[in-house]
Amino acid sequence: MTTSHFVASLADSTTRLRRNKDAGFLIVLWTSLLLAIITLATLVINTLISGVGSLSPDFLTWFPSPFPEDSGIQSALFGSLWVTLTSGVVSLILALGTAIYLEEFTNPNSRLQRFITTNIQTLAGVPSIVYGILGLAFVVRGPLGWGFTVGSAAATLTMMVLPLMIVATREALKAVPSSLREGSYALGATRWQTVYRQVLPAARPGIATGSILGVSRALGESAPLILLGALAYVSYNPTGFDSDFTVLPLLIFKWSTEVQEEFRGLAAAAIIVLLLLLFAMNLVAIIIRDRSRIRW
Amino acid sequence: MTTIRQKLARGVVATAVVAGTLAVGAPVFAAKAGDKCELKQVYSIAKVGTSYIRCEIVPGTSLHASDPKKKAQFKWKSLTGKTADLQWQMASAKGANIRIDGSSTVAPLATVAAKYFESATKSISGKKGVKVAVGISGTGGGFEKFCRGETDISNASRAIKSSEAAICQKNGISFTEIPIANDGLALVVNKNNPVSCMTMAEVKKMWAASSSAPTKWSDINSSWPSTPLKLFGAGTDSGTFDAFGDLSTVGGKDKLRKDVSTSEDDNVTVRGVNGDTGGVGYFGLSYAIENADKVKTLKLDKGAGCVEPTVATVQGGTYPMSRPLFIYPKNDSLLSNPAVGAFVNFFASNVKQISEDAVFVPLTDSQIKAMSGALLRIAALPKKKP
Repeated sequence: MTTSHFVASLADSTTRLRRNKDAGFLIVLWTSLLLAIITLATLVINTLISGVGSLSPDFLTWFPSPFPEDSGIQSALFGSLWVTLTSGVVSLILALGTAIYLEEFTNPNSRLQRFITTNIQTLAGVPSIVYGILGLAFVVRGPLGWGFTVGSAAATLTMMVLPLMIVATREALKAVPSSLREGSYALGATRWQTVYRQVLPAARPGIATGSILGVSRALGESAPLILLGALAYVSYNPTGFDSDFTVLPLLIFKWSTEVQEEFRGLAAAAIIVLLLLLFAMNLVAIIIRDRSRIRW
Repeated sequence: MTTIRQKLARGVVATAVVAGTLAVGAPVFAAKAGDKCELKQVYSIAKVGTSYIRCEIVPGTSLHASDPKKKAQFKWKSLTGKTADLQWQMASAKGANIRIDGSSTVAPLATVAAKYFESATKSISGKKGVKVAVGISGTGGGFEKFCRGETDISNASRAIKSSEAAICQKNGISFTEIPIANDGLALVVNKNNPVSCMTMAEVKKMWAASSSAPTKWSDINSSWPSTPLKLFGAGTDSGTFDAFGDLSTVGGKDKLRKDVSTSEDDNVTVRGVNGDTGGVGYFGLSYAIENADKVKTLKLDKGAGCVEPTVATVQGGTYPMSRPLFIYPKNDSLLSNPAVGAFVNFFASNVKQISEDAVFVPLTDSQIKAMSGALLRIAALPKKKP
């Protein structure tokens, strides 16, 4: 075999190998995508099949009951809205303040900044049940002693989603090009004017997406609330921050452990309502993002 | 049991009781004179007191205990014999809140009582009806909250432990124990398992922790198949777990073997036993009745022959694994919140009907007599000085 032959065959075999690798990698990607979609689709379709029969206007307006025939979700729906909206609004305000301060008003290399950043990132990864323990010890009992009320559940969920929302808001602020700030300063604007008039509007899509994802997590969360001492049967809507309540994930949890088989269908129907709520919230995020998208 | 409920489409219940717009499941209907009852063969208009009219079951017709139409005509009564007293008691409890927590086994019963009580107070006080919230923290978790003074009533699937009572006492929480229903613990196996009856000695051998604990069915009784044994149990925080430790005669929950798949959710046990030929698990009798198509309930023998768990054998105590269920109202709440007293009175007075509707084993007449003793003790509680 001559040298040139050898080189040619080598080139040939490496090309084939590289092409095979390429195809193989694509197959791996497709498989993971398919697996993810099939799992999700199975779950959703399964839930739809077992739950759709129980969905009706009555299901939304009736209150939970020990009997499957006249059970509805009204109090849980209102409880979920109360808790989620309260924690959403409070954590959005706190997250905005924190993120603006850290991104716009401090030196990114300062020790304090790095210390706070590390802490927030760690908190964002803490399991939700830990926030439940914190809420039980400090909000429900202990210093605040609010009991298991709308207020303490909202406070606990706020603590849980706050780090996530701070991280998301900071990323959104970071994505605003510095030329925008410099231009604003060049025109004589103060730091606050720059943040308020230039940076915040430009970062709005990112902030909206980040905070709605945070609120969605609060909406679907049950573990910390169970730890707080959640109530399973509440047949009236919350009237204030100090009232008893239940939320959709808790009702789903309770119904799925109920003796009667029919409650499984109701649990599935409640899951559909929860999914629709989550979907609607994400839709709002997408609309805000698309309507206020700015191209640099 | 299931078929009857499944046949009822959502919404049908509302129209099945009375023509007109009356609350579903409300025990006392403020119906107008001239309203007609649908399903005339079963219901007829009846006058209650001077101001209430409702549909009542025609004597002699029988409806299934779990039939919602029967629930809808639930008629409350007072154990002391004076309906007016209880009605007055409920009326004076206007707009109050009651918080109940504890055993998830007792929760369905307490929830039925809560629903009936809410409807009853609503029919008396209108929108200012009493609000009852029921939690499911488990017997132990419920007592933990109760002894901190966070709840008015604690549900329990076992009697309060002396350690728990000591905490209550330390915190100045006094209470009254009221046995409210009976429960049988059913031992269930796979439908394909040929075993249909076990002696208590065999139950003990099966569940006791030991270095030579059986791994196959044939290890317990050589005439049984050599299928591997797969045990499913209740969550270790639950009163059911504690009760099984005692009732299975192994000598307390600490002596139960540990290689058991435990779950707080009894449906997991149903699915586990249903899917494994060697599976065996235990839970409250109502789960066994409800899931009779999926698992086989074993008869038990404590030396007097095989006994099937039924309402009669659990009430009579001939079924070996029977236990009482309790509610523990806080005495302070009974004195300071008229709604709590009214609820306890309502619950106790109507406990037979409530138990039947919730598919629980009701108290026997002699147990009810004993329970009215507890009610008298409550009535005799020293009034707090304002």
